[in-house]
Amino acid sequence: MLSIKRLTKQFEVPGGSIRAVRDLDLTVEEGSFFVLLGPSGCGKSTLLRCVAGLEQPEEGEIRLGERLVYSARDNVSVDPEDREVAMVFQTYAVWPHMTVFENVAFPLTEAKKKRFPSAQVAAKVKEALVLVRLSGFERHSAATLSGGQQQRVALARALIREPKLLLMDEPLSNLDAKLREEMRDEIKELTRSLGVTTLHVTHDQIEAMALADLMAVMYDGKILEIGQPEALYRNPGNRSVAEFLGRTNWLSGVVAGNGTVTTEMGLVKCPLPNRAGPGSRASLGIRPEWVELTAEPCQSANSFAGTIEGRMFLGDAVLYWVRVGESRMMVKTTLTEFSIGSRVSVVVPAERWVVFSETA
Amino acid sequence: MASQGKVSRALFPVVVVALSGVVLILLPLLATGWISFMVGVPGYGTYTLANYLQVLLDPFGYRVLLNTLLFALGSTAMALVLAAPLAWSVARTDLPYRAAVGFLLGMVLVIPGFLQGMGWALMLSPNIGILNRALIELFGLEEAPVNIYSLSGMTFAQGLSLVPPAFFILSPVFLGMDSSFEEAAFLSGASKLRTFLRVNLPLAAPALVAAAIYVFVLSFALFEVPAVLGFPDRIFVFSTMLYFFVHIQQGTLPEYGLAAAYGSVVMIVSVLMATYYAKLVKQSRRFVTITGKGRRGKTLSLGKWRSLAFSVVSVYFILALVLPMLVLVYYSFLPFFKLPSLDAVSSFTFKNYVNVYTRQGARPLINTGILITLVPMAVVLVAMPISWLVVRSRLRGRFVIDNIAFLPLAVPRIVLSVSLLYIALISRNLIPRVLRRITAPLLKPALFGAWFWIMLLSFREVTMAVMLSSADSIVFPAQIWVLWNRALPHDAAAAAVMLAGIALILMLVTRRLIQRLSTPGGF
Ligand SMILES: Nc1ncnc2c1ncn2[C@@H]1O[C@H](COP(=O)(O)OP(=O)(O)OP(=O)(O)O)[C@@H](O)[C@H]1O
Ligand SMILES: [Mg+2]
Repeated sequence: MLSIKRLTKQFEVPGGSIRAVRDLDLTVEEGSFFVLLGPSGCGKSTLLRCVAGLEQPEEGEIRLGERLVYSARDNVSVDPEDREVAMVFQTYAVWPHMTVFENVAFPLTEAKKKRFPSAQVAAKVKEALVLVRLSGFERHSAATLSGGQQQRVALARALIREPKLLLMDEPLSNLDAKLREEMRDEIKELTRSLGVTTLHVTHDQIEAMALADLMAVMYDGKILEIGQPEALYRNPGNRSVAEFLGRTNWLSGVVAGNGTVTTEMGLVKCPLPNRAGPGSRASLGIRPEWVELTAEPCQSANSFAGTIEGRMFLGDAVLYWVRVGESRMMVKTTLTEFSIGSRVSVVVPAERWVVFSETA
Repeated sequence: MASQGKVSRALFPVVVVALSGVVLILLPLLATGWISFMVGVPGYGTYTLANYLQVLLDPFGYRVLLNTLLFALGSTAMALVLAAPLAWSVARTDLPYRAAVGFLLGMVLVIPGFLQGMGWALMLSPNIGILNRALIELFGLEEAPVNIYSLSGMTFAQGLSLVPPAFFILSPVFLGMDSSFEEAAFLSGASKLRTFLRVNLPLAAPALVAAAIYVFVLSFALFEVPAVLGFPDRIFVFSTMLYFFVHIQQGTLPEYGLAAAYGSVVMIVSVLMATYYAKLVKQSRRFVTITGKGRRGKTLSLGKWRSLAFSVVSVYFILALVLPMLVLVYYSFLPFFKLPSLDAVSSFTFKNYVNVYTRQGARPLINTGILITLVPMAVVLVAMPISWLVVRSRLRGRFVIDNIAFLPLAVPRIVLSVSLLYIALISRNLIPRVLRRITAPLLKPALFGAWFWIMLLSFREVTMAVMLSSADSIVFPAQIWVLWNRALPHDAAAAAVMLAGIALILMLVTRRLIQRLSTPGGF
């Protein structure tokens, strides 16, 4: 549905230029929900705005379906109003001088193409407002709505023309935590039921994983890795990706052969990358929730004796900091019985480790 | 509660300064009201309603009212029609030399209006206007084709010089507009024109109306251009009529009471408009969301319109600044009137400049210098606490203060026999807006722009006030006014050129200062 090839966008600023998007390739399949995850300033919005036609790239090519909407080489650049994509802005951009009805109806009544008769407009707006659970608000002035309600108006406005592609630029980041989760689930539900192709941008890894059919981790204008959320979370391709997707305990060690690595915690059994021969250095990562804690001493492989040094109650889980030899490990578990100073055993299943070769 | 007590004690000096500021504003206004019920020699008068009766019955008053309305409406319309597109193109497009536009508008603003009026008179007066004379000679005409001494002439010249205030009100509005509003419209499939009509324009409308009202109230009270261009053919607007009542007639007593009665009526009308203005400003602020995450408006490419836009802007500056100043400079070097020619140039002389000096020495120059340095400072000192109270404190009655602070804008100054400090307060109505900006650190550039504006405006106001209040030419603007009224245009032009020079220097210095302060880390 969307295919981006070798896209580069730079901004001229006093004293040089910023390459916000660098030589980037990306494909989004028809009907899928694609999430771009990356830290602030990595170029997510810029990429989205290039797709929308709001920003003029320097290099590359953008296709929507079969249609070429931007090409540096062929000197093609379709205006935003002709691209048939819809966008939900981070600031909502709900027009404060119009009512909810006028906002949502705008794409039907004011667009260059496909003007609709007013009876049809009313019906469609009604339908869209039901969809975003805002029926009855038609006559309200948009300026009086709450943040969450404005967000729903923006969503209804984006969906009403049944766009080929829906772009969302951190639509949830201005909402409070509870509302954010609710809206997230609603967006997922809505886009799935409508089957609209969606490109969604966020810097929140939980939101990204919850929404995505397929996601990409972006850093410094480039895509580091693309994959399904679960696969990326379990088996990240490199250390940066692992870190973006959640907290990780890292250990450094020397490969001892036989599927083991000598670390400051002791001998760890783990799956080794092909290239890692005995004597080479490796980083080992493990997520806090994959580490198990027991009170009894445990004899199995990959179990280590430790002492609880810190404890944080999170509601649905407890976060412990455990001292194991020279290193400290973060453990997330539903077991609540340990307190600071308790002696415990830390058990890490061998297959849960992610291991990267360290190049000198 | 205890902490609140502490806060209010700390507030005490602020409250004192603010209240004395309010008193300074209110006193002359109350005096005006009082005087309007008096007849006879000041101090020995009797109370009466006669003044108001005369206001109601005098057909001359109604004619002046009509003149004033036409003049104010016409010049406001002209100023807005020019300023709105100009502010928009400077804020949002790739118009060439955008940075210079702000500076040049500052120049137009800071050069006292009566110099512009004099420039136009020297160009287009039916008798001595250079352009008129040239046209007569070129085409062998019977009489002058254009008469600037007319209501439309006044309106035209005033309209040109009201562009800067309108521009400086509108430009932060356009700068602050979140461009995602229009981008959302594009992505809804709307064309550029439709987006402009349905989104940009309505969003800017409250600000446009507010600017219009502001300029209208201003033009209602403006004196300089109508005085220079209206007196020769006895075309009066309110402000010049009041001046006439108090000053001109020889052999009769000045009619303070009548002037005050007219003044009070105008005052009430202006205050009503000012209140409405304040309401609109609040509304426009709600529309123009300036959020941290919102993107600065993207610079729009004017494309093939670029050179056309640039030409229009150039024509404006030629009319508002270059031509009037050029004529003044030309006149200031001539010994007596000549049409521009090689012969005229060869007769150029510094005699007029020397005359200006020998008449009064350096005294007026020095006095003027002191005034224009001290007064803006006083304005800021008194106005800051007022606006701070209005914006930040929870003091009861702060809205009353806000409204009082607005009054001087609405009041024709001539009526009020006023102290300099009071006159300086006229520009204080700008400060509430400015202070709101101070509290939003996001808006640093806008803030400095506004400060700059206050400084320049007080310069202008002061020269104006002084021109009116001192009969003897102890300050420069007054000297120019006297020379001009004595039909010594060459000497007046020389003095005017010097005053414009001072204005230019002041502009450059202020700008320097602002630039230094507004660069990051400059604080
Ligand atoms: N109009 C612009 N002019 C100059 N630089 C810009 C402009 N827009 C973006 N940039 C720069 O490009 C880079 C990428 O910006 P972008 O807004 O795409 O980041 P982002 O990933 O969306 O960040 P965030 O999560 O904070 O929204 C940043 O370094 C930014 O400063
Ligand atoms: Mg962004």
